Amino acid sequence: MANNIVEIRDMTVEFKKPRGSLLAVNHVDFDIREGCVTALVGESGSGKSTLAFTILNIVNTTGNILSGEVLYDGKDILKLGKEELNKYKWKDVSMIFQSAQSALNPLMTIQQHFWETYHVHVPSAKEEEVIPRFRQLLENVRLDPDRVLKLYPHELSGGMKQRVMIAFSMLLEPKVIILDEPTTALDVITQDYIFSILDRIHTETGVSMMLLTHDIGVVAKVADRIAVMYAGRIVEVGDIFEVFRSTAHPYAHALITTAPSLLDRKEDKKPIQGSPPDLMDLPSGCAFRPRCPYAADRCRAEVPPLVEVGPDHLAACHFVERFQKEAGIRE
Amino acid sequence: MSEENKEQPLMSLHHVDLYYETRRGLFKPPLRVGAAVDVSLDIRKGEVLAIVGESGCGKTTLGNVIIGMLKPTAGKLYFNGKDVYGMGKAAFREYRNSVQLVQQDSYAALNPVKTLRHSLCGPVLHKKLAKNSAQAEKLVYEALDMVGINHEELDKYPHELSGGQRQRILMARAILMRPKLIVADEPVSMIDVSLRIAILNLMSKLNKTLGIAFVYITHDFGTARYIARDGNIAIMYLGKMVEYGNVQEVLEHPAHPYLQALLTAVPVPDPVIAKKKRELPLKSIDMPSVAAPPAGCRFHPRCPYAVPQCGQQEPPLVPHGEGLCACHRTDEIPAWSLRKDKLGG
Repeated sequence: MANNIVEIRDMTVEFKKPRGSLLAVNHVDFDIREGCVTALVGESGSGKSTLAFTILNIVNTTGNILSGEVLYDGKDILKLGKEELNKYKWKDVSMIFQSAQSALNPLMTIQQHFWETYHVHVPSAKEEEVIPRFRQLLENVRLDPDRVLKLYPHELSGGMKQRVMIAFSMLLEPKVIILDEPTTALDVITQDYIFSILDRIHTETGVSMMLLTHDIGVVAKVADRIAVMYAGRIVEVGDIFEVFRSTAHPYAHALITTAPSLLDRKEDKKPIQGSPPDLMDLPSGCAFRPRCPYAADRCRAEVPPLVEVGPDHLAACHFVERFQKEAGIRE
Repeated sequence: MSEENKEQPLMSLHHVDLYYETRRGLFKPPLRVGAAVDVSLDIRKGEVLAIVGESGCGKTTLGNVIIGMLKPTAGKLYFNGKDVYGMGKAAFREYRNSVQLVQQDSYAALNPVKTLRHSLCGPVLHKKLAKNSAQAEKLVYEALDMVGINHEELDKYPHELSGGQRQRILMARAILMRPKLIVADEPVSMIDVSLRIAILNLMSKLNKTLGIAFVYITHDFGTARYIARDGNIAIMYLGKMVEYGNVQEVLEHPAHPYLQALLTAVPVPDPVIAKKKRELPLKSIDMPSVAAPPAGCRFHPRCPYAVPQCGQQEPPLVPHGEGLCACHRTDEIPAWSLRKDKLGG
């Protein structure tokens, strides 16, 4: 089994709101395995972006980290000084944000973007010397450097901007890339293309990836491991084949099976009852309890811990066996 | 509506064009962009039709033409057999009431400073569907029961509801007009995955119990197939309809090379299937600009099966199998099957 390159331990992040405070991330342990693509899946408000932000220590502007550490290369990232943290960003871990489309400065050409970031990290570099590297990066994402380096962001299509961002994230050869909904605004053909590029980069450089998404089809296609988040906690995590084959948490099961797919049989699907949880007013015990068809008294009383349910497979449910039997997952 | 007969479609589009004009400067002629070009389509009473395509294909424009918000640049639009833009005022008003729209962004579709009571009762009174506000409220309550929203929610403001609830409110507002047809433009793309099925099931229920026809506009094949079930699907590419037919048949055996490429790219939620490496049957990833579409078949620069004829002649939408397809080479290109691509064998 591969080593963990990033380890998040006991992470809790609080946001203060006029109505009170809420825990967007609630005592979460999460690993990024070296050389793997780890997908973090959850709906809006589940805390997946916040959890990813802790890896770059960028939640502090709006939220407070109440507990926990982010271990990278034996060090706690949250304890790094400003200068050390800036070195770590882009060079060790880079992130492609959900709004990658608008992450580019409209007044700068693509070359200026590359140079600005490179120059900050490698002050001794000369622009002429690193241009071949910029060109190579753009070629890696199948963009024509002669054309694209001179262009301004508005001259690029959505798919091209996203490819520029991927090239950009590789600028300082990071060990980990975090991709926050990298293809959400893109069409399915462009999406397929972006993932084929990422797959090649992944194979060639061995870079570890963390993918945040709510699209189960994308997860099935690109991820080696999957973690499912609900109301600030991880409810199921493990090897992608194992989790899909013997899903152990009712919410993860619902998420995986309710999205209409091209291969579904022609029949009605049962919706998940109720609505997403109000983080300010979470139910006692298991947060999924009010929506869970398998809930019992114990679910009201105790928060289920994340425990091993199979090889490289953890889940947080009191009644894994009963659920799997009733849902027809296990004989 | 005296001459209703069973054969007559609820709505018909006859060679509809919709061009947008953009001014480029004082001395240049305006740029004409064909968002929908030569689209002919029937919508039968009570049917569910899915219109699917990528961004910029003209699907939303087509929806706006169907509800009468955009007047076609050329071509005819018929409602119950009558020309929409040749009918009298009263008949036009009846058509507009009978064809309702449910938008993608439910927050933008509701007035943020008015309560839902105002947003729902207002149109009922305005359209004189009720004599007084008590009667209007009664109708609104019935509609809320239909879409599964508690009556107490009526005094809330749009921001106090979840996306799923707001989408139900839009459905309620639409059915209050007693429509024959609802055009739903990406109604579930902005709401949480766990709530989507419930909204799709609600649309099916309104379709079955009230007999309302639906035009479901989306880029997502999974939900299109789910909602249309035994209905039809129309595939759009750069303003043109390229394939049409029964949804199950079209998605299982797509005839147009563009649709074959699209379906190859759709990942299915099963790692064993989705991880299989497949080459997209495409020559180029990038979609040409709709403002300057390629000559001949609009897909030919990206089509792996294109021959010189495709660059010169625009293929007409002609019968193919049970449906329609706009491709010169449908009989020559290799058969493509969804099951074979996804499951192999």
